[in-house]
Amino acid sequence: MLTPVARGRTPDLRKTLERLPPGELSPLARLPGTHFARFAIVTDLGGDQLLFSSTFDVHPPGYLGEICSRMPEEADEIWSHCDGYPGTADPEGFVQYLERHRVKTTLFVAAYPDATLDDVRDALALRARLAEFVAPAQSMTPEELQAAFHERVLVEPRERQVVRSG
Amino acid sequence: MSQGETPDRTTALTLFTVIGRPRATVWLRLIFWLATKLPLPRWTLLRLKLIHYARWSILSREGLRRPYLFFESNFNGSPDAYVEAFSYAFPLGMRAIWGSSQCFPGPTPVETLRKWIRRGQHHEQHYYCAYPDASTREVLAGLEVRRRVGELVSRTQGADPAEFAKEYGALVSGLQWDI
Repeated sequence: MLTPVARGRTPDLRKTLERLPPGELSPLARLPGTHFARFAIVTDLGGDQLLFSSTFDVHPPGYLGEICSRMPEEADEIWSHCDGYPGTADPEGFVQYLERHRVKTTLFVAAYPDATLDDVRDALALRARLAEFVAPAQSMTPEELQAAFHERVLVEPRERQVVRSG
Repeated sequence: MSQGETPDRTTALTLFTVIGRPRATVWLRLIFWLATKLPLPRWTLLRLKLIHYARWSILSREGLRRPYLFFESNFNGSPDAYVEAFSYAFPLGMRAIWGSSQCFPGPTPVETLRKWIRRGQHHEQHYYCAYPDASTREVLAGLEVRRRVGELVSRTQGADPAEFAKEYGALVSGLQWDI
């Protein structure tokens, strides 16, 4: 989506965005099903605009509500620099505001269109466990192999299960 | 280094270009519609296994003096290497998509193309990737491992150790390029 930055507020908006913590500490990490997302200030579209774009698993209206409920402080800090922003205190207005400034995607290409974020994370973890298992498995008897495969490859590490259920 | 160039493997590119002639948006919409219907354009784009996700939007909203073409990509490696790979692998597609954008120099020479892209590129003030250490190839390999392991589990329900070991051997052999 592209929201118009209020006149003279671009430097403050830039500072706000650049202060956001990276990686898993990013507020965007709290949005469920988010694979990739970005904020960029676009300065040559007839007035400065804030671009927010995200690639995610959830249907848009639900996703915009998630932004409002899961990162309200950061959302207010960011979009309060934009014209007409209603604030997260008005969740319905918040969703309508972002919907109004939504840019329709004309073409979208995905290397793995059917995979959710959980699918990708599970697949990467499983691949890592299998890769780690292959070498020691070479010296196992069939009985040991069958038991160890279920124990070390198929079962998620306990610490991850705890995080997921929390 | 901008936020979009994470120190690991995933990089963002955000590009806005001016569509030179307003009527060209009709042509572009046709091109994009065809790209959603025909498998070849997407196959050509994705075959290098550099792109996780990419999108294009035509901006011709009220308040804009001219229509713009927005492009964003999440990919592996440096923008320079990415642009070079696509200038050679996707030249016809690049001409079809950006040929109507102002001052588009063509897919080659690649240095001229890079300079043109840098002029329209916007650096991300904040960029998030949920699995920054994984390349597109690794994600695809992981999904293939997941599929094959799932098949093995279904096939070996109640199997004795010898049968399981045989199936496991076939699994590892079949996945040698994916693990």
